[in-house]
Amino acid sequence: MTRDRAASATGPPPAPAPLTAFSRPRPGEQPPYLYEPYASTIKRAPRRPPLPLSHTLSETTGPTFARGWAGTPLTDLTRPGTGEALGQRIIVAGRLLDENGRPIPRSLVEIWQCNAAGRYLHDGDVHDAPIDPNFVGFGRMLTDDAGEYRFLTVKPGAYPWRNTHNAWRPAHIHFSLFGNAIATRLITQMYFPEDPLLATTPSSSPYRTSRRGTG
Amino acid sequence: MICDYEATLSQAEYALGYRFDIVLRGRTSTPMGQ
Repeated sequence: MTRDRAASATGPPPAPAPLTAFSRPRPGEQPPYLYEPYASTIKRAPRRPPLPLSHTLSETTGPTFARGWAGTPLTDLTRPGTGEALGQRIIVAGRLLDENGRPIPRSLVEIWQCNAAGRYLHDGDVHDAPIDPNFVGFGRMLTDDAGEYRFLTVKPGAYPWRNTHNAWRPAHIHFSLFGNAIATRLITQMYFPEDPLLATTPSSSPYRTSRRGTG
Repeated sequence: MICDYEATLSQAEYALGYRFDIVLRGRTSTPMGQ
């Protein structure tokens, strides 16, 4: 059976999905892959410039982790089921916005962090700080119709990260965002204001504040 | 990448509130973390 006959048997083919091309990052919009003061970028960074490729259909249309894909929301990291986590309770909330400042509804937000003592619940973390039996450190939810998310957690501690001798990484929460399409995927971290460790931690671009849609 | 302390987001007698808005792509995009 030819493809034409198969199509006529089930009616006209569906209209092609509208393609949206995302604008390319402009110089300075994102930090460079290689920044030698941040030692681990030396191994991670590509040695050749990337090749520009056209966006594919799946990059511009999905997957989008629409409602139902994320499973059960985990928005309270302070009570994983047994007791209450140690540390300063904090609410972390905000909006997920697209490049034109429009809120992105029903999009998956995932966060992970160490506990208040600076220790991740992970086999690879050998930092000599206590594990909190009442803290896992992982959350996920879909943004609401206004693009808002909200988690209850504890403030993470700082931990040594061996970038240089006696280097301590400022307290932070990791974020994974998808947005409306896979091409908008972003992994980033949230830092806390007025942390003295920010001044001594190398960053290839200045730490920016998040104020109301300015990143 | 630095959040703002937001007093109105804090919950009385319970938790401090921090706001972190995220922009995906574009001129004002949130930098990727390293």
